[in-house]
Amino acid sequence: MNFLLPLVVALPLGGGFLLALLPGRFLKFSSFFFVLVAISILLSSILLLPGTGYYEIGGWIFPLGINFSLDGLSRLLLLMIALVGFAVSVYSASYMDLYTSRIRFYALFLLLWAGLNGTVLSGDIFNRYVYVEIAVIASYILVGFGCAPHELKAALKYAVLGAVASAFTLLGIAVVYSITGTVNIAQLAARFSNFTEPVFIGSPAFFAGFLLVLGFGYKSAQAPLHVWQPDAFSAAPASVSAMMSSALVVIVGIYAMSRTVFTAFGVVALLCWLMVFLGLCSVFLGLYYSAKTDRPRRVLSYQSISQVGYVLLAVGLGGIVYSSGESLNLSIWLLVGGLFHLLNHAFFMSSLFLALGSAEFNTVDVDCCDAGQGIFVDLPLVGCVSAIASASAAGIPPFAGFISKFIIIAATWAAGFPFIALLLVFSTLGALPVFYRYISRALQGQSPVSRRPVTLLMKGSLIFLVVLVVSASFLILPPLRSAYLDSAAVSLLEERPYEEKINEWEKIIKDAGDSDRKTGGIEQ
Amino acid sequence: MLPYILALVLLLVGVFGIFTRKNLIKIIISISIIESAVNLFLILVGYRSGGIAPIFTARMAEISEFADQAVDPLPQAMVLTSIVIGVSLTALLVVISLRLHHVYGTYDINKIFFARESDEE
Repeated sequence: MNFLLPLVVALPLGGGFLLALLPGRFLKFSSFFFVLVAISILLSSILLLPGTGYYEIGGWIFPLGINFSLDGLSRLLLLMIALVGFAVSVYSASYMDLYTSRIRFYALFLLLWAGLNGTVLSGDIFNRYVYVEIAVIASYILVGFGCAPHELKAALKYAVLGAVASAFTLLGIAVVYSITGTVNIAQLAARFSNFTEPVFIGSPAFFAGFLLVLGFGYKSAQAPLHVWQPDAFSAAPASVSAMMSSALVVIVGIYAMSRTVFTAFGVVALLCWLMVFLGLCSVFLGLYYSAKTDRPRRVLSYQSISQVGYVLLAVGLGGIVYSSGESLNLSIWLLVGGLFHLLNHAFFMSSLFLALGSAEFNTVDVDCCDAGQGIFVDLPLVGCVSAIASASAAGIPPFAGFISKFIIIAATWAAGFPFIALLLVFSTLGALPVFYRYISRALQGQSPVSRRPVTLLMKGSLIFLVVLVVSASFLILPPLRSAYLDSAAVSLLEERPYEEKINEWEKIIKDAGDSDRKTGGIEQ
Repeated sequence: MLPYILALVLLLVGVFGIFTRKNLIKIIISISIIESAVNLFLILVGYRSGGIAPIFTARMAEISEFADQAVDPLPQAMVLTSIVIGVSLTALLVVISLRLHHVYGTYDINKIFFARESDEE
């Protein structure tokens, strides 16, 4: 199945460029083609689920060339992006009636998707940076897609600060290269594990990790760096907000960050503490601001910050517990909780944003939608989907969101951080009234005048997503959990990827007496 | 050591520019300055004094001789990629600024971001 690996990046990239060439009058054909590309990406992602492996791009042998690698974590995330992306594509095919030049939208959306898939698969940190840039630049344009002043302002804010964050990420990569002489993640893992001195504050490795965590943290909208996110998610078309909150933010943020800190650097406790700090800040700031506002888009945006905070917190704590060497089992549970919450977040956030988008589609009265009063009164299906997704997001017992939060809190308590666990219990309870208010306001009062009926395609994708929200609970049953979630957590924590092959290469390099890189390098 | 310090100074100049300038065009220029500083740093990482260009020609008999003299080609490849990313980002930012200029008639971010709603079309 390894031949499919480059395909999941090539399909959206090629499809996007083909669509960009089409003139506007081929609208029907391009919508059809767009959904077809989405289905084929979904199919190849499903086919990739059973296996692991790597693919050498252009035939350059493994640690020397650029490669794609698929392991327990990346195959799961690949499928998650594909499921959400498929639902959002079908939805956009009729939701984008609200906007002009839809073919450009399709092209940019596929470009975003290609960037995300590339970020998940690429096996070296520099190429990961390039794919992150592809995804993020596409998202800058998509945020400002409507070209109204407030949309352009949101895009500008996001893009200017994003450019700075990207530059610092690249600086971090340069520092990593200067201390290890490689950017391949498998090789980095081998070389960092040979470092005798630990990573301390002020060491070059810590500096590089710090820059990378902050750079990726900006893109995942973690609390002190979240300023762009509520504006961007309020301004973007609903389908873009859904794709960004569920896939972009976690892939180019949390996935890229944890791959760097865990796999490449080999679980550095200091950097994990930084992740925990960012996560805890986002959990509470997101909750605080979502409780303060009434505007539905902003409630959802701030809640998204808060929910992603749980994921980052759990992953960071898992790293701390693992590096202290106390209990491997507990650290795996923390990571399983975090990853499970990541998947749940993707499903319920995309349902919430798409449901809200349907209400906006239904009426052209923007002010009324902005107030959030009575927007779901005339739309029983949309209201129902929102209620179920909110219940999962707020952590109400039978739903998957409750299970993942429960695992995170219980494992945090058991790992010896009762204070953080109590804070999390508090914030989980705090999310309940926020979602209750959001739903009850939307279901009461005068409904806005209906202009366009919600189409069948939009309803279909909402039902698809709400089925995912509900059925995500089954992932935690033992056979599925050990097959997917546990193996994802283990691949993040324990695996040194392709260890034998890398060791072989390290030996060849050593034998060749290649010592000049560190000694004869830069000093003049 | 001096080139590294100069690259750092350039980086700080760019960061200073982004947070103090009020003109959108100057902010975009500051972003380009930051990108150049990072590119410079990458080049410095691969540089060796008196090195030759990393092109293997027929004049060199041995590959080891080449490896002893050439500068590291990998950071140069990275810089090339990063320049392309930087250019596309700059182009995008300029386009967004132009669109905003059409609406507000100014590049001043204070006037753009704190404009009253009634000023917007």
